[in-house]
Amino acid sequence: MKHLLITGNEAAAWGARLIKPHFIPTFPITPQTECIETLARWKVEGDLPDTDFERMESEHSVMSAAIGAAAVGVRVFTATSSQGLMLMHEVLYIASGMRLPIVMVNISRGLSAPVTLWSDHNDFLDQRDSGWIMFHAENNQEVLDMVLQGYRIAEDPRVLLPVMVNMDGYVLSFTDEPVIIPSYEDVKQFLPAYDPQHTITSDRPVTVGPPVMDEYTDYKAQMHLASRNALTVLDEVQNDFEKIFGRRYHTVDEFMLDDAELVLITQGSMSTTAKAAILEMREEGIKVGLLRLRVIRPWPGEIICKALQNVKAIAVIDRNIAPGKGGIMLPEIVESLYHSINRPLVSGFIVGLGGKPQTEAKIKEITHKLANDLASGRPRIEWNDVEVS
Amino acid sequence: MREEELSYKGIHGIPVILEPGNAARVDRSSWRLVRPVYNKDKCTMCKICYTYCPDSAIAWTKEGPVINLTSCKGCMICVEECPTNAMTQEKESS
Amino acid sequence: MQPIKNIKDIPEFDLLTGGSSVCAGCGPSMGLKLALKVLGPKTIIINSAGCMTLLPLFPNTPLKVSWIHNAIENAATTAAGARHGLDALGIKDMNVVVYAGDGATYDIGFASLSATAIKNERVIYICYNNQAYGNTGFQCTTATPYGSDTKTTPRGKENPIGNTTIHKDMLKLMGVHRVYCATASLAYPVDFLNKINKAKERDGFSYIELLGTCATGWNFDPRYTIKISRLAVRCGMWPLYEIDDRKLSLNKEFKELKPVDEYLQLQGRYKQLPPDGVIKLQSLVNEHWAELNEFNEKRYV
Ligand SMILES: Cc1ncc(C[n+]2csc(CCOP(=O)(O)OP(=O)(O)O)c2C)c(N)n1
Ligand code: SF4
Ligand code: SF4
Ligand code: SF4
Ligand SMILES: [Mg+2]
Repeated sequence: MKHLLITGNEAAAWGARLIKPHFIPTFPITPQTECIETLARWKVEGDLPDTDFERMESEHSVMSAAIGAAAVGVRVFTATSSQGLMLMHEVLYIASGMRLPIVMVNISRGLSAPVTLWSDHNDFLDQRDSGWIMFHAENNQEVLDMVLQGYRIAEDPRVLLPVMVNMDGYVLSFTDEPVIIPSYEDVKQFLPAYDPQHTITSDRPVTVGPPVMDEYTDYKAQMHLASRNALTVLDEVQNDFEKIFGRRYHTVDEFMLDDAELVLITQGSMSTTAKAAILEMREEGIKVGLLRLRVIRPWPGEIICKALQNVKAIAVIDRNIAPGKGGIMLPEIVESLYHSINRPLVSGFIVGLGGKPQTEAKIKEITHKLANDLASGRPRIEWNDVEVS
Repeated sequence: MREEELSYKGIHGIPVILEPGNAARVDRSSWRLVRPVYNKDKCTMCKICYTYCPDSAIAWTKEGPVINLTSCKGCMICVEECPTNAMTQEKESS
Repeated sequence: MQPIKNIKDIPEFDLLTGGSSVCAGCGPSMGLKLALKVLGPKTIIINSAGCMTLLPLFPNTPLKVSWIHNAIENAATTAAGARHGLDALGIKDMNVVVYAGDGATYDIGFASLSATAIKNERVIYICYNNQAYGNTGFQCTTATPYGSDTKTTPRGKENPIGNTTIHKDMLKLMGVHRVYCATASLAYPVDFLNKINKAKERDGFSYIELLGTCATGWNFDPRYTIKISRLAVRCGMWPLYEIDDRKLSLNKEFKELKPVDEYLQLQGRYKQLPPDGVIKLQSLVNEHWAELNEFNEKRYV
């Protein structure tokens, strides 16, 4: 174990280095480049002796090669971002449909057009129905830990689905934070050598990915159940993780929720800023708390519902936009609360598109608006950060 | 079916076929309008029919070609290519 | 494996059974059956979306080797991934073979093919060229010959020619990747299988393009699949040649080519091609044939 001051990209690369994947197909895209460059450098320096680092000619081919390698029974890691993830879109469904336990880090960035290099969450939220297990990290330590946990969950026979670990571009990908790097021994104890369920050998020919007729629904039902199973597996993995590494994560991250009347629902790095703002608002006597979505798929609706059963008003803060509809997570939250007895008021806030920084001041403003909504009994949809109106 | 009633099949829920070559049992005889008929007397054992059958419906044995009428789709390539007319065609009855 | 001398030498086992749902007399499925005789059981086929995707249909598969179907445009890079995976497992004796259509090869999958070839991945890429998007009902690809009727280049008042685009010279394009390239025809199975054998013995990428004679799309009686495959070679529409380390070798030389019309007449897709179209097609064939003869046994690309 050691402590390093590293970026999110390096934390992702460290996650890969520690689990020693057999194969890493890559293609560069800002802000992911540093992650694959780090791995390339480690490879030539001899730090990845058991890993095959490969350059592909597109992200579509990155995921295609990942599928080819995973289908013959090896552990695969890769990383991408925004346009690259979109180019993979078609094959993401094939990776999950074939039930291949690939782990990929996505460094979120807003989608063209117009071009932006900065982070928002549309890229990976657009993949939320692809069958991948989807995590979203708050900080660089969590990025590394999610990669380690990702393999445990992906490879569990009750799951067998690919895992996407998301982090916010720039804010995490290019920002140094202190990160605990676990020892190889501890990681080996946590994640044993790969025992693939998918193998192709000459004495056991298999036909992978055949067309089906009526069985299609059955396979989709199996994928759905597998994804639901991940919620159970996640709890078990947390137990093991805590035993070995002394840290624990929960399926949803609850912050000062016990007596909260107002709750902010956030994702990713802005949660850290929001938590700081909440501490200050608490000093002022405002009963505000936070719920951070760490696991997007499978959707932990019941856990969310339970965590919010006594609150009065919720602000769903969406760093994404489904044009013509609104924030993407708002309806997901509302659906999960629909059957609760004391349904809270829910307002939606669309913030931080194309990387607009979310300051403590902005978080406080959202909280005040939410308090007003509660007082007036009228929820709102609010666009922050609009420059030209 | 209610979602709670679905059961998870583990690796059996992976879309693969684990029985190599099991399509051999699929009966394609209804595709045929004509069938090949083999006449051993004219056969020179040249192996052309065996080589060209796209559906592996001709097996090669010491005694020459053996037609499998479960797999034969009646394409008539074997009949057309047989250099000695040892393969001829016959209309299917139905 | 020693080169095969004649048809009688062709191995007597089949790794592709009957019972699939491809058309009766399907040339591409015959090609795969033949190729597997040389490739043998230690083979993984990577298939692109196309007619051959329907060889297996759950729960049945005619394949006695492994098969991975991923998508349409990524067979080459899926194969590269499988090769890297096998290497990681220390498995050296498996053939990784792509079996992909012309649409998947010339068009939508060209980038993935080119990258895999230039990196010289240990993959045998077989393109079965039926000269159209067959599976979707026979639409024009950039492999479709000039003058062919397809669903997206139908003949009509405004355009009696059908397809007016001259097809890509794929072998030349692959030749510049400095890999072993060859054309093949079902009517010359010994030549085809020896080319597969050559590819199998290479320690890198090779590209073999088989004319995927297609009764359904080309609109002829399937009994003529071999006859038409032979005529394609005899009239210069489908010359048999190799490019190895950028050098060209013609494998079937003829003093005189048969007129293309003889080939065209047998197929519905050319039936209504007007005389000036036939003349143009003949001149394209002549031009290509002259070029191949000029560069025979010389550096070509
Ligand atoms: C991305 C994508 N676009 C379109 C298709 C539809 N499609 C399926 S098979 C096919 C034709 C492929 O043509 P070719 O590669 O020549 O193979 P063939 O069908 O002729 O065997 C097409 C266009 C697809 N599967 N995926
Ligand atoms: S008719 Fe066609 S399918 Fe039947 S045996 Fe002859 S070649 Fe094979
Ligand atoms: S092609 Fe004719 S002669 Fe040759 S083996 Fe077949 S039946 Fe006999
Ligand atoms: S359309 Fe042509 S290539 Fe496709 S299955 Fe039928 S015969 Fe074979
Ligand atoms: Mg085609």
